[in-house]
Amino acid sequence: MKTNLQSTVLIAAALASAIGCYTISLRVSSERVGIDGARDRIARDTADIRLLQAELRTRARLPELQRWNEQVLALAPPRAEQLLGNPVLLASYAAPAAVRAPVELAAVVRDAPVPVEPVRRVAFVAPRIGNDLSVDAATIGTVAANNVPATFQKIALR
Amino acid sequence: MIAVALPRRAQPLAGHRQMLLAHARTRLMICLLLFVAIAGILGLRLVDLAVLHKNDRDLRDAFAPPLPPRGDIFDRNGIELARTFDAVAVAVAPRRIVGDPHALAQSLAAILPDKTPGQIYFELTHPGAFRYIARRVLPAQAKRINDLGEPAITLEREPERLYPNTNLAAHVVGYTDIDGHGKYGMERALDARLTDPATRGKPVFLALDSRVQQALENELGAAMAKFSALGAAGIVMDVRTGEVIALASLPEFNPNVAGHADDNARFDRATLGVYELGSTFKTLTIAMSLNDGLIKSMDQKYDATAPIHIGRFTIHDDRGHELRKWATVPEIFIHSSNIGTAHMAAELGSTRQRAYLDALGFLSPVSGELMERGHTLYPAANNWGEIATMTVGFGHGIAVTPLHLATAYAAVVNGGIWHPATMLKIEPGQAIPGKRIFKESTSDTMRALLRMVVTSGTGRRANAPGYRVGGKTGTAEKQQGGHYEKHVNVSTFAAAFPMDAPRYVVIALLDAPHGTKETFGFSTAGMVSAPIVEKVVTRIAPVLGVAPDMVNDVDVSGMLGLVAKAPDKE
Repeated sequence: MKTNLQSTVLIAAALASAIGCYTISLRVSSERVGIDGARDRIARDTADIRLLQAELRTRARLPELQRWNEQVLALAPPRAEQLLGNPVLLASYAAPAAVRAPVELAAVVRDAPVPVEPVRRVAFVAPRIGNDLSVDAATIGTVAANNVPATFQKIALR
Repeated sequence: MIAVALPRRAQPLAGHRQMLLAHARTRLMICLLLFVAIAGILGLRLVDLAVLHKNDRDLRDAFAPPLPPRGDIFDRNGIELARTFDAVAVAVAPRRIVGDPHALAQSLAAILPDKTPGQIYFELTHPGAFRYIARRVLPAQAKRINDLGEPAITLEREPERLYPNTNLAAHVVGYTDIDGHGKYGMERALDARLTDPATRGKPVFLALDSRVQQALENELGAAMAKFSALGAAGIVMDVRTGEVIALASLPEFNPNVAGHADDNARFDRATLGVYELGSTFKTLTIAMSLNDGLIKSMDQKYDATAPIHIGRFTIHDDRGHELRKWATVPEIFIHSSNIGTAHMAAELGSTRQRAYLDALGFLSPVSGELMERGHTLYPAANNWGEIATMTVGFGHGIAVTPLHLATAYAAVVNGGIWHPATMLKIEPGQAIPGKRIFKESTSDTMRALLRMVVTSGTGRRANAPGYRVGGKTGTAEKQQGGHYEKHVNVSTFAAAFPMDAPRYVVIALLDAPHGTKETFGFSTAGMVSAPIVEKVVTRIAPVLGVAPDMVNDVDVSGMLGLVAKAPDKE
């Protein structure tokens, strides 16, 4: 009885391990087929990517972009003074033109009431610049008409 | 009564039983050892795969794309300049056609837009045994043609070389023939590398920068059209490495249909054409004299009082611009005096001049990988007497390519080291070949002199604001049919920027330009070529990372003090 049970268990164990091994082998072969498929797909996709890259490059080739620029966009290369090396230059570049606030002075003449032209003086109000100039986005408070501080983004440093 | 006798149980002998037991144990042991051995082998293999074959290329390259039939060519930033694709050739065996050729021609023409039904019908009814209907057809079109089901039509795979940027840098990139062999430019120079299975998987990176190339070609083209010139050439070179960032020759051609181009368009004026580059050579003569200690200070004077009569030749300055005095070195340079430079060259002597020119590569075909290289023309060694020394000193009697001039100017401004030109990108850390020609101090002085020509001399139209351009004009009369044409010029401007720490040399050359109202009818280099350099520098400097500086500049005040009056001529 004991011997029978032993051999049954042994047979079952052998069967189970055989089935297990076969399953693993099956899985390996199916993985392999999958990898081959992926490899083919990659090769195809690589070829497609190359084709698309070439098509993009052909459509966006530089002589063609130049033609577009000459006929439609009319963009010009930046002038040297438009390329700013540091935030101070950026601040001075972005600052609005000095605000002109005419100050009228009236001259009072006691003896002879001769009409005189009023003396006009022009006051230049320099923009007030924040203390910390090392920050990337320089915020400049301007003494503009409406007194609204404007925020400037770093545009083309370097 | 039934007598049942139980069979007597066989009693194994004591010795036999022990023997069986021993056998079983042995078998068990063998099995155990087998399992251990298998497990060991598996373990070893795992270690082998995980440790020893960790960097195995085969494993990693399992997913690598298939090798292209010919290597790709990229510019220094990875922009595609030349690529190969699978294409299909559509051929027909006219005698074997089953269907109606008319209908077949119609349906083929619907698929192939660049062919007319008439052209296709001609091929289909040709008496020959084998005809190509179309070459380099896209795979999608090929499939539709296949679906027509005509047995006489065959499809053959063939590689197609595509140059996506069309004309851009056509002379550098070159082209291949229908069988895929390099015929021109880098396609020809690198043919072995581009076709070798071991190397063609990796693209070739050229030193070219497409953006710079486009700017150079565009500005040269505009100037060529404006001044009705026969041709133009231009170079942008990195002075520290000798890398050719851009090289243009106009007129140009489309390498995708190279067969349609004429010989004039295919001729590379920058590396194949040799020209007498005139006054641009004065820079080299002064640098040589400075370097050999013949010019001890900038206020050293040379006789420019009267034309030099030597043999049957007369060396004179341009009419209306004669100095008629003993002139300082900056005066000679800024006024571009032939007489003064001739005296300087004579003092230097033919032996030293020849040695310098040889070291700068002028006496051999130009450096660089391209195989389209012109032979320079110069006096024979036994004929290189005083006259030749004098004329070569101001750039006559010696004909070189613009690329020669670019490498020499790079050596003059970069601190004195000559690097051979290269069309291939030099990776950071890669060794750069070079040899010292001029002293550091010579280079420093020459930079100031060159800058002065642009701030206050003949090259003012090249002064791109902020970029500290320095350079020298050179206008030479063109030789045609063995004699010099009085009013046909080769106008060259050789420049470098930024002059305080030069990074790039820019050469612009116009072949036989005509003056316009704007240039007062002049076709001299200062009028026609210098503006090209100004426009090119303004466009390429931001791209190349050269920062403009509106405040600092090269100090030329010391030298300007030695110039009596600023010139207004070439």
